[in-house]
Amino acid sequence: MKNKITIYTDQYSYFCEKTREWLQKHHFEYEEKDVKLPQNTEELFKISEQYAVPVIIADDKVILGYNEEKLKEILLD
Amino acid sequence: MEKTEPQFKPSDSAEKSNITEPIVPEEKTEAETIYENRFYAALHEFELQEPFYYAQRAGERKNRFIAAKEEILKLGDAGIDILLRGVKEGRINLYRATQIMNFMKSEKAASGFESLLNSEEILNSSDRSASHTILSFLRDKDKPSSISTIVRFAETRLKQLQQTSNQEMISGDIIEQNFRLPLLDLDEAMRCLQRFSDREGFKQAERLYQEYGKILAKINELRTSERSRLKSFLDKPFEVNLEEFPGASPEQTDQINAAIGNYQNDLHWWELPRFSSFGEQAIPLIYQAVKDGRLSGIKAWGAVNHFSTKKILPILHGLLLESAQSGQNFFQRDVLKVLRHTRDLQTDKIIAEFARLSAENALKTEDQARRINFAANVRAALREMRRSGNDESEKIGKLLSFCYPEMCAGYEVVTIPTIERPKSREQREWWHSKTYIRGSAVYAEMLGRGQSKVHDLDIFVTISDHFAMDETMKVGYFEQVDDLEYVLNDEEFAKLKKWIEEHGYQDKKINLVRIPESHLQLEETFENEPKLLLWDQALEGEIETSHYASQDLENYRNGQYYVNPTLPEKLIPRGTLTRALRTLDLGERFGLEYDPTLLYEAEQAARNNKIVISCSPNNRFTERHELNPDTAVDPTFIKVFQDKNLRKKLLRKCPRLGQLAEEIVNAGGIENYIKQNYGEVYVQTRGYVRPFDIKLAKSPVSLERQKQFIEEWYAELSPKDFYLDGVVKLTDTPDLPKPEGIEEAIDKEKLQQSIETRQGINRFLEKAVGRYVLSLESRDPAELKRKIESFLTVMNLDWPTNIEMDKTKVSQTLIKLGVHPRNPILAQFDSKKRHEVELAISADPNDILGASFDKPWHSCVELGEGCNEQSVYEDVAKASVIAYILENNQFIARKMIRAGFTVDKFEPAAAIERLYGDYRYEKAMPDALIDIFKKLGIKTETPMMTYPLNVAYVDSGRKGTERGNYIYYDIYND
Repeated sequence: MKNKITIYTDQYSYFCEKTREWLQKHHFEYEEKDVKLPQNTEELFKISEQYAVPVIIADDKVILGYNEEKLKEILLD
Repeated sequence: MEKTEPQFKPSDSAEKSNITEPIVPEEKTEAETIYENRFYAALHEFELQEPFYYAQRAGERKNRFIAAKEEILKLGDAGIDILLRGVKEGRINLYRATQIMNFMKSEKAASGFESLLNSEEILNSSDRSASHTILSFLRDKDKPSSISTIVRFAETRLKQLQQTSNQEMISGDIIEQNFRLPLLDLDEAMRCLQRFSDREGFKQAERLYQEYGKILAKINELRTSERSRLKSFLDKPFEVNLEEFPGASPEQTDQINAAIGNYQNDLHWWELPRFSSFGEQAIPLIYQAVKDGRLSGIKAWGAVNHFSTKKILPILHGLLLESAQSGQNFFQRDVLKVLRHTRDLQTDKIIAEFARLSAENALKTEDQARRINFAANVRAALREMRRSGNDESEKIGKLLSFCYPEMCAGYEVVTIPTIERPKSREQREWWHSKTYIRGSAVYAEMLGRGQSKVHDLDIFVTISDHFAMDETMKVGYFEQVDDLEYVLNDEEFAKLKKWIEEHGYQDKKINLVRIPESHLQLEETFENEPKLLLWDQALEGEIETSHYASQDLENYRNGQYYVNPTLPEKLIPRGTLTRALRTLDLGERFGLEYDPTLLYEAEQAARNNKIVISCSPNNRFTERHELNPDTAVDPTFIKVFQDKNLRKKLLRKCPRLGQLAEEIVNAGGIENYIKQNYGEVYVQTRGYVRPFDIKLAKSPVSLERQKQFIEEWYAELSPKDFYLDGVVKLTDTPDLPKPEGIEEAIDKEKLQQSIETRQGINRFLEKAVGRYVLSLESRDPAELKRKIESFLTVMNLDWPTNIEMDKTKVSQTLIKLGVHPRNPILAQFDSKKRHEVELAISADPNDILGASFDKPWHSCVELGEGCNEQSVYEDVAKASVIAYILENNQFIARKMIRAGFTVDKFEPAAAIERLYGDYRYEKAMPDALIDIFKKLGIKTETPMMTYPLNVAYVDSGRKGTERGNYIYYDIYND
């Protein structure tokens, strides 16, 4: 796999769903971490210094929120 | 090959004939002949149907007209050749030809017009419709090549004027009409030239204006000389000889004069005395009475017209001359009509003198009414002279029109047009009536030092407020004074140039600003800022001044007319931050004392993140919309800040403000700064930001959604509600403060009755009387959470369902996403704040009566003012108690509690009425009361009934529900 992608998600989040869709559409494999688990919540804060989801980590870069432009920039270009 | 516009070539000399022949093809081909036949057929139809085109029910004829027009236009450029040939051959009327060419709008039409304008046909034409069409067409086309054509045309007209004015007079060859046509053409040609984009047009118009000025001076000279010639020609034409009439005896004289006196004073003036019965002796006495002012001209005519015309002829002559001298109104037309039948040379001369004298006096008099009478005299005389059939008389009439064109206006003779000095395009755009010099140059001159510290010149031109519009505000930058040559008019430009040269500011750049007159004071940099009035249209003319204005006028003429002639001791900036900065600059530059308060306030605001950064200039208009110009960094502030020295000064004095301005400059202006740091949405919506505003520059959502969000974010937040945590009783007495003046407001008798009634009923509510402490907690309003969620969605984020939205977590998240830690919304997200207030329940009649007396709320039961004030007496009578919320012994809210009974078992129940005062206790207060009553075994739940109150008084706001007194009222009535 070229890019190691991790996403912090919540089951009921609309934007997490959109992020998943985008990654699947572009055939990226990703690891998903549910923030329901307390250790994931802590990790989420350590990485992004905030609590909202989704947070995408790709190529050691942190993307806050579902941001197509940033995803394209980091993963496609 | 690319087509190039022919360059302008000024005419070589005025001597050279300016008349050109229309350029037309000489020989016709067969095809052209066919075209021509088609063209003339269409033209014939066009002319035939044209009158019907504008008729309301033209029907078919209208269509035929349109078809003919289309047919003509179809021929295109070929049609123009045919038209030009037709004009030359005399087949087509000149006006018709220009009208059709005007429809065509082609390049060929433009060149056709150019060739036609200087043709003999136009120059000899007796009406102006063709030249008018051509000039307007060429003006609209705006081709530089047309300028030379129009100049040639104007020069020819000037030459005609010259020739006409050179002719000898009195022969009657020169008449006003001879000047009229060339002057009107010249006027229009010059107006056209001014409107060409090519500056050559304006230059030529100016040159022509100079030449016109010379001819006009000559014409005016001619008019003056002709006036004196006319006067000498008509000199002493007549004197009324009263000796011809038989003399009256003293007795008769007395009788006649008495009759004249009565006649003059009689309101019913039409009841004429029979002057004829006095005989001819009366005639000279009547005339004398007119001359002495004892009899009006109108009445004199009534008095003498009973005599035969022949006898009164000298008197009529006298009356005419009298009216020409005094401007007195009488029946001039009737008199002239009478004279028409007895026409002789002397009468003609008298009529001419009558007209001349009237015209002369009309120019002299300042009395409007008399001027109208004089003008009426002139017109009546001219009409009579034209009708006389006498050549000599007719000539004098024409001469009169020439000598006094102002008096001969109206439908009979068109006045001579006054050609205005040409205005360049810039002059028209920068139109103004006054010019002021403001700014550092003026201070340097007033102080007599610091000329080298003047950076640029601020010239303000103003328009009267009466004409000011949105477009009035105009700013321009000019490298040097010569660039203003076409902006200012000649005298004004010369004055400014002279001032600049005298004071050595030739190398300074010029900022030209146009504003309405009143803004000159409103927009000044500091209070009572001095300004030098350099030019004022109104003061330029020949004016007579009053004693008080004479000094001002003298100062103006010496170039020393200062508005606020001294510099204030301390410069106090007028309003905005930009002006404060400019004042700092001026103060430091010229070593003057200034007031830096505004700058310090702005620095403080910048440190507290409260300063406003605005895309648009701040002034008193933006002040109305939230912005405070005192602490608003705007484009004008940034512009002033860009001055290197000033930048240093500001950074030294106000570091945070200076740093902020520096950041803005580095970002490339305010708009860019906002876009880069806060997002374009602010530029497109509010046009300003504060440092703590939410940053949307990185938002991945559309601008539309961002705009929506901004609205949601800045929507008013309702205050936090208080929720009850616990109730503890403090004392058994409420100990409420007594409102001042309540004793006087209470109706003692009514109160006594109420207290007596109260004694006799069940006063179970009084058990609750006492003072309590309420523990409350305040919770964030629901909108706050919605705002935060809305912000997250603008960043395409969600709050995870399992993570509690507490203050720390929310703040950490929002700050990370771009919300400033001092954003007021963030400060409000502060949950579970503890709060304590006191609750007092009282049964004291004074406390009940004072339910709304001297309290921070109003209601209809307010003693002395409320429409239902009697209801509080009922509350006393019917055993109500009152509950107040107090904070530091101050009244915050109240509820009336009425004694009631449950509907089913008739158990005592407390009906808690609506809340007055701080509505944040809407939830906590009834909860506390319910808690207290429950502990005392008093029911509070529904359904219940209360005692009947006045039917019109339904206080609860819950009418129709079971808690009000309605239900009881229904039961009671059953």
